[in-house]
Amino acid sequence: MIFLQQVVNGLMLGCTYALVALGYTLIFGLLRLIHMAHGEVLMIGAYTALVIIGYLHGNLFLALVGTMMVTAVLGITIYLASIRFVEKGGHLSPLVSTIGVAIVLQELFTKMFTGEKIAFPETLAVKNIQLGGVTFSTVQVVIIVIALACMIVLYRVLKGTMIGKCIRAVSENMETSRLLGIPVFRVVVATFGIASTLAGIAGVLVGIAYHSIYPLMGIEIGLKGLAIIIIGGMGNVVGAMVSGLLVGMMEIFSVAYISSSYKDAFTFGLMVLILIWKPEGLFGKRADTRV
Amino acid sequence: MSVLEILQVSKWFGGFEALSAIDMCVDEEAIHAVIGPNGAGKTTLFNLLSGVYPATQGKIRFNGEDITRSKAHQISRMGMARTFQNICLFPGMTVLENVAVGRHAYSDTSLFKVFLRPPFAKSRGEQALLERAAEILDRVGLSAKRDQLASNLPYGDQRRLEIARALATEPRLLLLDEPAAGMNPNETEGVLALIETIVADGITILLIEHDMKLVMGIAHRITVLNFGRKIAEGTPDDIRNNPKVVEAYLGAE
Amino acid sequence: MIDAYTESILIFVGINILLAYSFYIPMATNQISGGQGAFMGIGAYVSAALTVNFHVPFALALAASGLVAGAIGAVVGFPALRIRGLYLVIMTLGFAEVVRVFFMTNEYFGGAYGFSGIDELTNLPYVYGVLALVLVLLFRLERSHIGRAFQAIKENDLAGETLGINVTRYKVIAFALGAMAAGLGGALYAHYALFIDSNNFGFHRSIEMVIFAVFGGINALWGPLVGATILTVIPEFLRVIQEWRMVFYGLMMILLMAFRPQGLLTKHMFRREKPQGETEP
Repeated sequence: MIFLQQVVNGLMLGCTYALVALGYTLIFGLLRLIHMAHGEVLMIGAYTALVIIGYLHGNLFLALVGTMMVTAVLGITIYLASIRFVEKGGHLSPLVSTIGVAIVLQELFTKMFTGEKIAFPETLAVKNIQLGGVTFSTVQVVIIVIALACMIVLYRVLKGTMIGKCIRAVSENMETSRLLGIPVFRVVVATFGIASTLAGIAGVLVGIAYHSIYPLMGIEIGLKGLAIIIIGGMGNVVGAMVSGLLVGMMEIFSVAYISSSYKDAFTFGLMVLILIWKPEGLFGKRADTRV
Repeated sequence: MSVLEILQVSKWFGGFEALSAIDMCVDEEAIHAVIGPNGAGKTTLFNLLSGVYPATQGKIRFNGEDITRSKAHQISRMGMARTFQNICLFPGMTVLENVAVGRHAYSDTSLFKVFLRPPFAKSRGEQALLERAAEILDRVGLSAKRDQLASNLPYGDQRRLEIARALATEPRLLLLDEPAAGMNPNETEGVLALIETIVADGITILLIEHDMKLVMGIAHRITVLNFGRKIAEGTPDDIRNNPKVVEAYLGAE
Repeated sequence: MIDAYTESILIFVGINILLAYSFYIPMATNQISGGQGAFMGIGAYVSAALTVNFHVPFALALAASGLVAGAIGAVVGFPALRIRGLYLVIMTLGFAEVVRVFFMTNEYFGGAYGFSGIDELTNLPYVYGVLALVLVLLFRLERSHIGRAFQAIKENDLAGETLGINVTRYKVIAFALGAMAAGLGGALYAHYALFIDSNNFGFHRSIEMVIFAVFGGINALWGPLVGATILTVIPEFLRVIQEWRMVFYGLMMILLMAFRPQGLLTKHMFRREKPQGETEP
C-alpha cells in the first residue's frame, strides 16, 4: 500500500529531523543560547563517517562511535570559542559569531572535499523486507532503530539521571542552580556535547539515507531544525521529537501528493503560523513575564 | 476625590495568586504608602496600576476612568508615572536625554512632520522640549551632570534621575517603587525633601518603601500587604500599633 | 567620466549601504531580523515585474517596490511584536525561507528559472539619489524625539512604555522602514544584475546584510554606511585571496564578536562634551 509506504518514508525522514531538533532544543530551548553552526556539526559528522568507512575501512559501528567523539569535541570547541565569551553582547553577538563559524567550516570542507555531492560509502547489505504489503529496506530499519534508540536514551537521561536533573535545573534558572552548587559551566558543556553528538549521528543517518553528502548540507537541515523546535516548542524535548516526526511525515506526504517544490514552504509556513497563533509551540506552556 | 480606586483586584501568575482581592483608594495630593514584607505583592500592584500586565480580576479607576484594560503608554498619557525597584534608566543616554524621553508625549509625534521639516532648521518643538527637560533636571538638582551618561552616575543620582524622568511626563499620580532603597541617611533625607516638593506641586504620591522611618515620617496614609492580601490600612499611628502588622514583619510570638 | 569597473563598484557600494540600513533600522528598536533578504527579493521581483511586464517608468517602479516591501514589513511586524529576541531571529529566518520558496515556485515570477530580461535602468544617480533620500530621513529621525523613542525602546522598552511611548507602533514602523530600505535595494539590484532568481535573496543574503551593519557599528547611525562600504570594496583589493574570501569573512565575524562586538563605530565616539548649552547627540 502506497500510503503505508509513505508513512515509513516519513518516519525515516522524521527520525532524522527529530535527532537534529533534539540537539537544537537542548541548546536553543534549554540553554537559551544561539548556535547557528549546528547544521555544520551534522555535516562534519557525516564527513567523519565517510572518512572512517571510506578511507579507514571501518564499519558502521566504528563510524558512529568515531563520529560521536569528533562531533562532541567539535561542538564543545565551538561553544568555548564563539559562544561562551560572547554572550554578554546580547543575542546579536553569538548569532554573528556562530554564523562565522558555520561559514568557515563550510568553506574548509568545500576546499577539502569539493563542493559537489560525493557518494556516501555503502555500509549495509541492502535487503528488502516485506511486511504486510509494505517494503522496508534495511537502510530504513537501521535509521529508524538508531534514531529511536537515541531518543529513548536521551529521554531517560534527562528524566532519570543526575545530569539530566542538572540540565533541567540550569535551564530553569542559571543563577539559582549556581547557588545550589550545580557546576553550571560543566553542565552547559556536557549539554553541548550531547546535542552535538546527536547532530553527528543524524549526519551519518542522512548520509546512509541519501547515499551522498556535500559541505552545504548543514544549512538547510539547520534551518529546518529551527523550524521544528518552534513548531514543537523550544526547550520541550518530547515536543522536539514529535514535531520532528510530524514534519518528516508532512514533507514526505507533500512531495508524494502535492509537489516536491512546496515541501519546504509547508514546514516554514507551519512555523510562521505557530509563531502567530501559538508562539509557545504545540507542546509548550505559556509563561507569564514578571518585572 | 479619589485619584485612584482599586476595587477587588486580584492577580494570578499561572497557579500562583500574587494579589488577592485588594481594595484601596488613594486621595488627591496625599502621600500614600504601601508597605509589607518582601514578596507581599507590592511591586506586582504597581505593575498592574501602570499597565505592565493586566489584572486577573477586579477594576482599577484612575481619575474616574476605568484603566483596567488600558495599555501602559495610555495610562502614562493619562497622568500616571512610575519609577522602578531596580532602576530602569536608559544607560546609553545622557542624563538630559533620559529626562527628554519623559517629554515624549508632549511632542508632535507625526512621522511625516519629522521627514518634511525644512533642512537645517532645528525644530522649535525639539528646542522647547529640551529646555523643559533641563528645567526639570534643575528642580531635582542634577543640572550639573546633564551631559553625563546615565550609567556613569552614582547610585543616589540615578534614583534621582529616574524620578526626574517620571516627573517630566507631568503626572497627576507618581508611583515611587522604593525610592530610598540602598541609600544612607543623608541621601534618604534628600529623597524625603524631594518628595515633599513634588507633593507641594499638587502631585499625588503612591510609595513603596521599606525604610520605616521615611514612611512613618512622610506618609499620610499607609496600606499594609502580606502574601498578596491587605492586612491593615490607616494613618501611621494606626499602623505602628497594629498587632497584625507587627506579626507580619517580625513573625508571631 | 568614471570607468565601468569603478562605476560598478560604486553602484554595489550604494546598494549594499541601503541593505545594511535595512537591518540597522529594526535593530534600532531591538528587533533582530534575520530575513531582510526576503524583503530585498520582494522589492526586486515587484520592480522587475512592473518594468518588464507593465512598462512602468523606473522611478515609479522603485517607489512602488519600496512601498510594497514596506507594507509587507508592517504586516509581518505585528506578529513579530509578540516574539522576543531569540525567537524573532528564527521567525524571520523562517519567513525568509517561505518567501524564497514562494518565488521559486511561482510561475509568474519565473519560478525556478528566475526572472530575466530586466533592463539596465539602475545607474549612479538613481542609486545615490535613493540613498541620499534614505540617509536624510534617517538622520532626521535620529535627531528627533522619535529617534530618541527608538533608542529608549532599544535600551529599556518597558520603561519607555511607562513614559508614554507606544512601543508597538514604533516597533512596527521600524520593521516597515527596514523592509522598505531592503525593497529599494532589491529593486536597484534587479535593474543592474538584469537577472534574478530566488537564491539571490536567501539566507546568505540576509546574513550579508547583518554583517555589513554589525561590522560598521550596529549602534551608530553611520555604522552601516562605513561597514557596507569597507566590506564591498575590500574584496576588490583582496582579489588575490579571492578564493579564501569567505573564510576571511567567517574568521572576521568570530574575532569581531569576541573582541569588538559593537563594531567599528560607536554611538558616542564623536561626542563632544560642551561645557554648557546644547547636547550633541
